[in-house]
Amino acid sequence: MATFQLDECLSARKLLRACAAEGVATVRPMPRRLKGSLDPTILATFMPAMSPLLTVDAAIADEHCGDIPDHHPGIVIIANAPTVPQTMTVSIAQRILSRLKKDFREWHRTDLRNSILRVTQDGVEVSRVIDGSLQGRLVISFSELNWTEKLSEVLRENAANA
Amino acid sequence: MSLANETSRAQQLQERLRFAVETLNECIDVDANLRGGIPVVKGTRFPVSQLLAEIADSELLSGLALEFSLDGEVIRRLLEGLSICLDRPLANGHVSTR
Repeated sequence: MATFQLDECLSARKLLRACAAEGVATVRPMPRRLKGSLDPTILATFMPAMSPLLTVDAAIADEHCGDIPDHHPGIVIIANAPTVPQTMTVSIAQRILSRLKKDFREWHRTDLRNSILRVTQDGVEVSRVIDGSLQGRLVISFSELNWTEKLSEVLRENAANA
Repeated sequence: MSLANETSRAQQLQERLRFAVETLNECIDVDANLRGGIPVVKGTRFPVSQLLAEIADSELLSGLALEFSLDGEVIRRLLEGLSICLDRPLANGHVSTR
């Protein structure tokens, strides 16, 4: 079963319960020792690990790409689309993830290595870090006909570069 | 209002603001390397904006509205508005209150 590492803001009981009920992936809450850690510390801790990092920190990849190695287990950023003015909450994050999972049914078996996904209400943006800079931003809209195939393909390509 | 009264009121306001800033400093961290510089609850990575938005989204709100006979929807919108105001970086570069 795939395991995802939650950032502190997503380490809510309701999310842990919902994931446990779904039963297709395990989520790990942020360890207490990392409470309040700076972004570079979070990246230094989880990028060498095995589980993709799930976060609502919309700026972490853009502002700290120098702290992200070329090879890592994957980062999933859940963010509001530019047209959504609300502040991110766990409930909003759950709705965004549900939208992704509704059509992308193999999400929990998908290799996310080296990919940085930014998932919003509108779609997914996939990029990766090469030599400390974010590259290959591909925007895939949920309104595209074969968006799941397109997403699978780019994730496969990024993972193959391990 | 006499000049003495006005001065006293200004001093009182200044004192309250000083107290407010001290209190906020005890509860909030702002660091460019922590959640991109948006204010977070001290010692955490949890943004103050998310805290307000989560309260707006929670059962707590309806209890409070009932207690004071307030319109729950108005309180929810108020918290949402405040959360959006705080959901932006207040630190750039190496500024830190930690």
